[in-house]
Amino acid sequence: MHGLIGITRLRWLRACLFALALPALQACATHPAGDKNLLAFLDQPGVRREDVYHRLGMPHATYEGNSLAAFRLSSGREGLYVSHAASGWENVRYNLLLEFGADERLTGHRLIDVRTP
Amino acid sequence: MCAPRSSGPGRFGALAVLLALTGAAIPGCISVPFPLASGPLPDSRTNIPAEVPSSIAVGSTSRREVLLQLGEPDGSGPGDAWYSYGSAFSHGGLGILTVSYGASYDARHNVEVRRLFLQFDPGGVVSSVSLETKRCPMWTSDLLRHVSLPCLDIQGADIALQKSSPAPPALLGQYKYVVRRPGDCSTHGKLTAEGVTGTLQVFPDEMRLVPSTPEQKEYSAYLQPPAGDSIAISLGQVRSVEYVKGRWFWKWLNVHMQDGSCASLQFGTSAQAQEAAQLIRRQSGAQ
Repeated sequence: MHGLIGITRLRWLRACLFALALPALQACATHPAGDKNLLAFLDQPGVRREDVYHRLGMPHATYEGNSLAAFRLSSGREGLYVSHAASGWENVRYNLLLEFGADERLTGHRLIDVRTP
Repeated sequence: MCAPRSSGPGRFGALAVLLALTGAAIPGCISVPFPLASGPLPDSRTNIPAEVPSSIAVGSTSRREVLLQLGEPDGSGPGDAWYSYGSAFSHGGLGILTVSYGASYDARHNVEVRRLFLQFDPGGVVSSVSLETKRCPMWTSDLLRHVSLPCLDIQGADIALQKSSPAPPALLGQYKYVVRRPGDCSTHGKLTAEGVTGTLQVFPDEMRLVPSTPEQKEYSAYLQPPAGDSIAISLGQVRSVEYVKGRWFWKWLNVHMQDGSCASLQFGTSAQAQEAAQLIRRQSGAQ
């Protein structure tokens, strides 16, 4: 009997600790620190599509016959990083749209603030 | 309309009271209510304005310009024929954390959903634009394993469904209290109340008997029960329509099919039966 009460108390204690630890665990969740110069290379002349994909990874989506590539960016402590969330805008701050010409070189880019904190 | 669906403030309130009472009554179980802050929902964007942006004009703004202004859409149609952008903002609410031998989280938000829907012509130019805003309660419950859906689908699936649904066929004629007479077609007989009784509807390609008593169904090879409770007969399979004048004032039509089968339809009046016969013959090209 005493053993059963002991087990019940132990479970209760474990549940309380779990509930109390939830906010702490969330705070500990690691996000990339980011890079304040992540997009600096876009302003260089003659940037090719493959350069972009090499630096940022594959785009989240492409539009208009592949001439527009969209990336989702999040904001970290030290700058931006590419978010690879499958759907939704959770933790995403910006939508980066890159325009490519027929020669597969960057012709323009636009950083859209899709989720203002 | 912003339908509360199966969820609603009443149901949530009852759950809150239940949880609080449970927490008070059962040792080792604690329910803690707490206010929820207002703000955008975690997976929602925030760059959808309250009105259609003046920079988006029907007939001149291109799809590319829309993308460069608003970013990726939340939903899109085949061939990017339409885009849907949406945001969901919580105006606060109530959360309840229940701790027992585990933890469960239940919350009710008062949510405002905004949806911008754009259609494009084949040239990729905006052909129509609309903006809707709705406000409704949303709640999530670990205990009931329920997450309510927003009152507007920001992905635009409901609009897409409306647009893809074919227009209903034109109703050419409708006759009430028609009885699908049981058995083979006969030119003899009397009034019957047996068989399927309902409303006969004649459309360009088929006629449907919509039973008034769904439990009375009698299907044969050519009477295909479609979705719902109606029985459909394809007019393309009709070979001939026979108007039968029975004893007294009883009138019916024997509809003979190409495969040799037959359906006998009894009408309330001879005028109805003759009118229906003409209509079916005209639409089917039968004799």
